[in-house]
Amino acid sequence: MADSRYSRYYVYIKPVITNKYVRSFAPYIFSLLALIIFTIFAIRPTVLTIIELQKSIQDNQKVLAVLQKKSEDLTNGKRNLDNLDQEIKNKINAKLPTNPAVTNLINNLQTSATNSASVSALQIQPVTIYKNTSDPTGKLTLEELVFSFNTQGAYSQLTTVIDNVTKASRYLNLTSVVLSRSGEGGITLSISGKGYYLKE
Amino acid sequence: MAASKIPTLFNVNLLIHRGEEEKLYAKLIKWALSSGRFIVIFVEIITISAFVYRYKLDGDLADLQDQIKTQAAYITNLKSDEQLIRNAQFQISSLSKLKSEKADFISPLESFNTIIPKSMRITNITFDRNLAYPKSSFSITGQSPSNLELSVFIKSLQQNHSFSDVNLTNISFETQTNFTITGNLTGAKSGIN
Repeated sequence: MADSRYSRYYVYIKPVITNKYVRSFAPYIFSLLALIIFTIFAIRPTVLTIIELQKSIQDNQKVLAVLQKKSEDLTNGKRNLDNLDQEIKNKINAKLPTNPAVTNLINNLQTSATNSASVSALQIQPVTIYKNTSDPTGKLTLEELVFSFNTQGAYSQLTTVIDNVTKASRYLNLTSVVLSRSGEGGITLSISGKGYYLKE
Repeated sequence: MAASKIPTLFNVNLLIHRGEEEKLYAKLIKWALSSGRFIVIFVEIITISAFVYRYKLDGDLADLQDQIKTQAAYITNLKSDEQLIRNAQFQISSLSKLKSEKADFISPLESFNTIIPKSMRITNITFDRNLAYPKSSFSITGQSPSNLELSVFIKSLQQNHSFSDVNLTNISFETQTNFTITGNLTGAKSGIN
C-alpha cells in the first residue's frame, strides 16, 4: 500500500499520467516541455547576452564616431589657426587683448584725439590688473573697461576724434557722446565708452 | 474482378496484442531517443552558434574599445591646442558680436549737418546708448531765430529714417526760440523716409 507521503501522487498525478489522452500525446508534451526548458535556461540567456553585446557595440561605435569627428575637427582647427596670417592674429589680439592693457587703451584714446586742441579729464574705472599669462589655455570671459574723456576743438576736429575712437586699433564702443558749445566759442566733446578685454 | 473494386471503409487489425499498456517512463525513453534527441541537437546547435557569435562580438567590442582608447589619448594630447582654438573662436565671435552691436554716432552727426538750418544755433548734442540695441537716444539743444525754421528742422528729423520718436521736449521764447529735441537713433543709415 502506498505511503501517506505519496498520497498526493496517487490523488493528483497518477490520474493524469494514466489518462489515455495524456499517454497518447506524451511525446508531444515531452517535446514541448523540453523546448520550453531549453528556451528558458539555454537559449534565452545566450540571446540576451548577444543583444547586450550588440547594444554595447553600437554605443561604442557612436562614441568612436564622435571621438573621430572631434579629432578631425581639432586637426582642421589647428591647421586653420596655424595658417592664419600672423598680422591678422596681431590685429585680433590688439582689438581684444587677453589682459586689461590700460596703457594701450590710454594710448589709443590719445592717438584718436591728436588733431584736437586738448584732451582732459581722462578717467578709467577701477580695474584689477591681471598678470600677463604666457600659457593661454584657460577658458576666457569677456570683460569691460569703462572710460571717459573730454576734448576741445573745432566741430570738424571733434567729429574726427569720434571717428578715430571708433576705428582705433583697440576695440572701443561708445556709450555716450556729448558735444556742447563752451562759453569761449569752442566746442567740448565728452565721450564715454567701453574697451574690452578677455579675462582668464 | 468486380468484387475487388469495392472500397474498404475500415481496416481492422485483429492481431494487435491488447495486453498491458506501455509505461510512461518507457515512452519517455523512446521519445528521448527519437524526437528528444533532435530537439537536444537543435538546441545545442543554436547554443554553440550563439557562443561562437558571442566570441566574435566580444572581439569586435574589444577592437572598438582599443580604438576609443587610442582616439581618447590622441584628443587628450591635443587638449592645449583645443583650448587655443576655443579661445581664438571666442575672441573672434566676441569681436563679431561687439561689432554688430556697435553704435554709429558719425552718421547721425552728418545727418544733422545737412538738415540743421544755417541760421539755427546748436548749443548741445548728446548721444546716449542706454536703450536696447540697436536704439540709442539723442538730444539736441539750441536756439532758433524763428518757429518756422524750428518746425522745418523737426519735420526733417521726423522724415529721416535714422531717427525715430522725435519730440520737442522743451521750448521757451526769449530773444530767440530756445528748444530741446529728443529722439532715438534707429541704427539705420541716414536717408529720407
